[in-house]
Amino acid sequence: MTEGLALIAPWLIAAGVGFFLTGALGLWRFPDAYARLHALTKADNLGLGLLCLGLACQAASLSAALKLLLVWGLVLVASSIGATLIASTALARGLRPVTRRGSRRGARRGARRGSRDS
Amino acid sequence: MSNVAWAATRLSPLRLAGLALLWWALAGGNAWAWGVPVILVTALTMPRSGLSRLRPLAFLAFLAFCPLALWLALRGGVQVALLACRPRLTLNTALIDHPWHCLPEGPGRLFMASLINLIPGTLTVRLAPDRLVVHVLHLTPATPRHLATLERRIARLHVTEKELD
Repeated sequence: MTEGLALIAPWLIAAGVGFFLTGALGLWRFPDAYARLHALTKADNLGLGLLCLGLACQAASLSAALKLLLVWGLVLVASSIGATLIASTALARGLRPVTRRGSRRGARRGARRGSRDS
Repeated sequence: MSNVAWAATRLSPLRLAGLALLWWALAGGNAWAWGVPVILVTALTMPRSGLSRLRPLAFLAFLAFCPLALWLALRGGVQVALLACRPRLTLNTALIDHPWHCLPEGPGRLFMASLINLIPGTLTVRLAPDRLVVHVLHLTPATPRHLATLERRIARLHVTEKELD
C-alpha cells in the first residue's frame, strides 16, 4: 500500500506542477482581469490539490497527510470567495470585461446594475 | 432559548467530532490537555455553519454532492489549462445573468456563488437578491442550462422535492 502510494506520488506532484504552469500561462495570456481570475481559481487550485495529494501520499503520518489536505480545502474556500470579491469590486469600479467581439456594452450594463445593487 | 438549549446546540456530537478531528490533524495527535479545552471553547463560540441549517437527512446528500463538486473542479482546471495552451486564443467570454429559480435566500445561494468559481468556465461577479451575475470564460448554448441544473442540485439540499416543484 505504502509502496503503491510512493509510486503515484511523483506523478501527482508532476501533474500539479503542470497545472500551476498552465495557470501561470493563462494569467499571462488571458485578455482581462476576469478571465485571469478563472486561471487563478481553477487551474491553480487543481494544481495545488494534486500537489497536496502527492505530498500527502509521502507524508510520515495520517495526521500530516490530513493537514496537507486541509491546506487545500482552506485555499479552495479562500480563493473562491477572494475571486468573487475581486471581480465584483472590478465591475463596480467600471472595469469592463473584454468580450469576443470587443463589445463592452454588456459590461457597462452589468457595472451599472452592480452599482445600483450595492 | 434557554442557556442549556443554547449550549446543547453548540456542543452537538457532530461539531465536537469535527473539531476533534481538526485538532488531531493540527497537533499530530498530541497535546490533548490543551486540545480538549480549545475544542470546547471553539464549539461554544463558533457561529452555526450553513451545514447545520441543511434540512434533515440532507447532510448525507451533501456528502454525496462532494464527489460531484470535486469532479466539476477537476473539469474546470482541465478546461482552463487547455484554453491557456491553445496556440490561438479563441475565447468567447461573456457576462450573463442567472435569475434564481428555486434556491431560497440564505447559505444555499452563498454556497452556489462560491461553487461556481470552481466549476468549468464560470466566475461569480455579483450576488444579487434576484439573480447571480456570472462571467463565462467560454460561453456555449448549454451554459445557462448547466447553471440551472447546478442550482436545482444545491436546492435539493435545502428544500424538499415538493417545494421544488
